[in-house]
Amino acid sequence: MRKGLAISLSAHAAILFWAVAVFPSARDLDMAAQPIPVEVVTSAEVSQLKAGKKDAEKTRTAALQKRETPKPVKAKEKKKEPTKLKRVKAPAPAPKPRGPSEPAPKPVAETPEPKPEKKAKAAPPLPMPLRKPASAPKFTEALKPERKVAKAKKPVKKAFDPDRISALLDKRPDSGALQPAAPERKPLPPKPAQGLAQGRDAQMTLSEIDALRARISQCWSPPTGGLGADAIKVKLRLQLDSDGMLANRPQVVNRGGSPFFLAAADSAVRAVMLCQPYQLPATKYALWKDMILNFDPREMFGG
Amino acid sequence: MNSPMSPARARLTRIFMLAGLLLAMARPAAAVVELDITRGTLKPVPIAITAFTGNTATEQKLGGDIAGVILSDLERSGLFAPVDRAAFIEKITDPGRTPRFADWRVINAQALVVGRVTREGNGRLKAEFRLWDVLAGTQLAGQQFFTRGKNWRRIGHIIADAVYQRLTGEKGYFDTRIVFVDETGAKDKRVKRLAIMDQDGHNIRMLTSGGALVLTPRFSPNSQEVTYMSYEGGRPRVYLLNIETLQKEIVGDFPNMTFSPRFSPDGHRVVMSLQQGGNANIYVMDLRTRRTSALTNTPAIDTGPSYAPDGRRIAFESDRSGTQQIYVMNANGSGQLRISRGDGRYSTPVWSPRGDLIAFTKKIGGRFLIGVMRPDGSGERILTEGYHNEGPTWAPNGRVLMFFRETPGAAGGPRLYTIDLTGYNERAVATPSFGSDPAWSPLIN
Repeated sequence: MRKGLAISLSAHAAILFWAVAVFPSARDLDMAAQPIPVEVVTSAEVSQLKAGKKDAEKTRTAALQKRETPKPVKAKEKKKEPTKLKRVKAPAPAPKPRGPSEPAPKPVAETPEPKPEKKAKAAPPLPMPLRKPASAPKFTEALKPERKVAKAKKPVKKAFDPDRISALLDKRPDSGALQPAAPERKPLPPKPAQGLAQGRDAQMTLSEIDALRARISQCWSPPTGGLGADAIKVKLRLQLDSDGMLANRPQVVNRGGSPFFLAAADSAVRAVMLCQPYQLPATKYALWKDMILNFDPREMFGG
Repeated sequence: MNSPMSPARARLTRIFMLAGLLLAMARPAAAVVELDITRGTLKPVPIAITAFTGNTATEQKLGGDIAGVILSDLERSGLFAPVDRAAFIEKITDPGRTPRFADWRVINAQALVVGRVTREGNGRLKAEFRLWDVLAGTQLAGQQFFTRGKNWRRIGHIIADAVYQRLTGEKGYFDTRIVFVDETGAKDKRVKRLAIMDQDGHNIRMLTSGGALVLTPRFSPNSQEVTYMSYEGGRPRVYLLNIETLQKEIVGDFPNMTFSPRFSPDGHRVVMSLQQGGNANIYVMDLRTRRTSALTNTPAIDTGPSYAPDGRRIAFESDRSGTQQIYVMNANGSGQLRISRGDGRYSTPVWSPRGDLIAFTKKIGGRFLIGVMRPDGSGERILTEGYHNEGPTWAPNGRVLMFFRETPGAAGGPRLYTIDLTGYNERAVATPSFGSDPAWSPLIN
């Protein structure tokens, strides 16, 4: 009994001493040491910049062209260019794989490199799903001779072939379909985090959500003016395919018996159908393939 | 060993099993993104209205005309943008069949109206229509109507009302009529006659001969009678006129001038102003018992009474505070309360048929404005302004107002206009000559 008490007392004293000795040193966390410059930008501003307007495109391209022209002058600095300007560069690397004579000297390893770039660049400006086989065969045809040449010239690398071939196979639907989401969904097992909820991109960013909201708002003409029409809310569930098209007819989740509700629900369904296809980040397909939209026109009427 | 379970334990086990089953059946929360869409656009809905089909040339002509009435009604409402017929790809030959939606999507139509006209024996006309949602590929409405041949315009209005109601959720106002004062002749020698027409200006008919000055006509709730003020016999009096038989009678036998009459919502009473010396007070007369009673009693001019649609309250104008302002009182005259609070003079209050707003004329700085406010005086909004705007009257759905606007100068005169509650969709109403003091009828059917 006494022995136990002694052990307990000494242990408590030791902990107390340790706490007094150690904690004070944990204080000096100098927060103000390095101020970080912060610019406050609302999500709406960001999404507006990203969404842009048709009229604005001209000036933007003009601006880009201006940037383009100095590039050749600064030919040495090409490697240092920031990632943002990659889009402008697009035309430059493109001709490389096209040239029929060029692939011969290049190793197989090089061919995969320009193509992912092409995938990334080509995808954003072309929202229309081009599943037509017409364009795909061209690329496959173009690839076949490449492979043959490569195999013929470099049989030494046979050991790596299975991986490379699978990599090539991955790219074919990309380059053919110019479709952002489809290839990532099916043939890419080595990237388990892509499009999954556990991935790092597991949340839609505010600007992505804001852009989507702005787009649907533009498609929506709610019935206005009816007495109490502003109090009617419609909850809609939509399921999207990876190409941004509706997978099926949107479901009205809530219920209402009045003719106003019927008209409001119809207008909401029309809006989401009219807004197709939705251009959303392909890597987050798992997040946006199933969405709930609450149509609530109160703000429109100053409520 | 298989010992029997106690009843309590058995129940517990069952509950757990059920819960387990429910858990197994429940799907994981599928939808990840949930968004609130709180804004939309006020763009009119693009709608394609095809000529109604028919078996004979006469039927086809009539079908085209009826479609024209529907198109014009919906277009004037400002909520619909009819697609140009020249752009149509599919030619509708059988309105009973499902249309090729892709053909209509291509031309950006969101709704499609098709129909058929059939002449039956005994001069009857049958018109049927279908309203399709082009984007969803579903039928939204489909009805058929019968009428006498000469009423074909009315069929068009009724179908336009059905389309309007299905797509906006509120009742239409196309199958209605307007009674107004038709004004002809030089400015100093105007002949003023009571006239009635369809809300789109067609089928105009004169109700009085023009021998005496007429003012402020108002419809009865059943649209069959009109009450108005006339100088017939040299003394201004309030009259009641049956628009079918043209029989008329004087409302109340008062020694002095009576003016500014209006029906109660049940049609049993008429409320009006009675001149008393330099003042005027508001009286109500029961049309069945012919008994009258005073609602106001002030040394001021109280006039322009207008019932709330539930008949419990009356809005009116009074200059008891020094300038014309709008007041609200209970139907028995109690609880009189001023509701207009802005600068300027307020007059001609008219309670909306749906009860949420009171329309008025406001004079400020030499200009006349038409506006609306809530019955407690809040939320005042001006819808239109001009040199001289006056006399607002509500469409039966409480969404559109008609009023008259006078233009200055010797050649100037009053014309009828409509404006909707957004204040953006203002349209002139076609009348053969000048027109003033419009009154919108309730829906006819």
